[in-house]
Amino acid sequence: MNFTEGFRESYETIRHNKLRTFLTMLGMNIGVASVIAVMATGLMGRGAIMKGIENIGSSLLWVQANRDAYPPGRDITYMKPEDLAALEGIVRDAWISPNLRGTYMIGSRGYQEAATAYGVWQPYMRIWGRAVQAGRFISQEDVDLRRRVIVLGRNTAKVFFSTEDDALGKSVAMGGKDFRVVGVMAKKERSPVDDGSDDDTAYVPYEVLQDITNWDAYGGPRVLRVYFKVHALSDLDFVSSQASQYLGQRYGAVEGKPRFVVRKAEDSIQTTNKVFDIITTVITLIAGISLVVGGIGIMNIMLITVTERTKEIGIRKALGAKRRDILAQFLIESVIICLIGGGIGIIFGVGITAVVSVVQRWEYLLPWLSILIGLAVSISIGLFFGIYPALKAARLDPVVALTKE
Amino acid sequence: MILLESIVKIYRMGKLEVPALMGVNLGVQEHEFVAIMGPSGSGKSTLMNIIGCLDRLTTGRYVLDGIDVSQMSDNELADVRNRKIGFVFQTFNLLPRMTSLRNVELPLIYEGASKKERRERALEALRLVGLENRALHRPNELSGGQRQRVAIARALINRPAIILADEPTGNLDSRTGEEIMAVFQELNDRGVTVILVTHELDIALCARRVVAIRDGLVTRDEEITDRKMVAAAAGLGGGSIP
Repeated sequence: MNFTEGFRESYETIRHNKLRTFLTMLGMNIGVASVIAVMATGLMGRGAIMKGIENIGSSLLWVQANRDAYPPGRDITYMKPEDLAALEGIVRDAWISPNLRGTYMIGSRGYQEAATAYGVWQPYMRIWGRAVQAGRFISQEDVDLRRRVIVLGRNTAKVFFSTEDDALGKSVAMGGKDFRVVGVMAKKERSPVDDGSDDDTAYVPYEVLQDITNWDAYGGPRVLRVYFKVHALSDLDFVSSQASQYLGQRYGAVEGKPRFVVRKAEDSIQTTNKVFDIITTVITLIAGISLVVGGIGIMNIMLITVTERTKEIGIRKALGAKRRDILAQFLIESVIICLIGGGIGIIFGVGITAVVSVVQRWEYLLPWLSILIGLAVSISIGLFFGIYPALKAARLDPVVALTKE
Repeated sequence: MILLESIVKIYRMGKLEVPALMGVNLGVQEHEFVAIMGPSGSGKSTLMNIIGCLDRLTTGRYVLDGIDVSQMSDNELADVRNRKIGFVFQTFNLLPRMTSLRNVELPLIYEGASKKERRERALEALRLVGLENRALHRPNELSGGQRQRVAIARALINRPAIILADEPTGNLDSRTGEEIMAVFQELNDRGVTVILVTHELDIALCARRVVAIRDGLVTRDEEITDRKMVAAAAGLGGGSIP
């Protein structure tokens, strides 16, 4: 029996058993659709992450206390404000900013709102690729003159002022001091590599925040992190080694490990990628289970079909059908059911992917690879789960099959 | 055409051995019209299955159209069935979802004939049994007699060496049965070898030779010259024989 005839026969059988075939196909639909949706969504998500990474760039690194090196209960050593000058001196061609963080109540016109205040230098905005919605960010002059100016996060500004522009020039109270609002930040997009700030954050000059912070409980001022964004990628390793060397000489080691570490944005990117990979793989595997379930459904229905059509098989054998003819007929049938089921699943999967891309505002990528994999998997399932019923049919004894009613 | 020598067929059911044929010798020449008769359990169905290459014999030799088929593989037997034998069954055994034309074409599909050739030969075979105007009807749109004619057309399509009919009138009323027997007689007149298996004497008497089987052995083998005499000799009671 050639393929054309096999397809024709299968088409007739499937048409004759529409409901049953449809129900059997559902398993394949769901399985293929979910595998494609998961794979394609993963791909798009990674694309979105990569785009976020491009904004920040791989030329970013920062220095921070090596918390993992300390045994539990031991006080952690932080950098001191005096270290800033030395760290700043390592590289000329870079944007540098320390970072201090504290939660404060911000008040204005009788309202109070909690916000995380970031004490930073002027390059901070460019290091993280942020933008202001209104006004300006903290300037070098503000830093030099220790001006009490503040740039409000989008949400914080909304609490006190009707519009962003309305906030400019107004005064807010924080930590018992008055600050003049010079800017409001633009909406912050999510990104896998992040400084932890959000729309509830307010920015003030680093030295100003340091001055209003009560350091009594901490034994003097400390610097949490220092960010470097080098302009030449080749400087990255140099900055990293120089910073480590300087801090190592000054503070020594703890338990044989350095007290400070240098982290590169690129490392975070790779970690994020790895986590993403694992999540995608695990979910794909789980979705793949539904494919196996679908395949068992196919096998079940093919076994029923073979039993129902034993007499037909007997007739065909009497008329000269060889084992391979019967085998081909039933294999083609199960592959066709799987292909139709998988095809519908692919359409659904692509549709789900499109919806996700719209909702998440990810760039839409037509998942060609997933579609090909979906088709290949459909055919394989048709063959794998169809072979046993088809063999059973092919091996039927013609005399026995013919006498069956 | 057909030569059966000391055919023995033993069925194994677990440890039990059930002999169905115990040394059958039979020869059928080209253009013959032979009826094989016997009560149920006599072994005539087994004999038919062996002649039709559906089943294998335990010992003995079977030569069909000059070829020894006793030791053939499953695939070779399928080929022999396809090319040398045309089956006509009591229950017609048409595939219900297919048109008459497709049903008649079926053996040619397994032979590997082209679509065009299949169509032409199937229409020709349907014309031969007078059903060319029913080519696109499905079996459930046909009467019993018409179904059996479609089955006969299917049996003829590969120009087989023999037509093997197993109780072909068993599911038909007597008038339609006579019509079907007339078709076989006409085919035989045109030179087709026909072997008929039946337990009805008046059907058997349409043939030119009657072979009686009982307990796995051929008990009688006679040319029909005088129909009444054969009936009496067969001991199967008279029929409504003209």
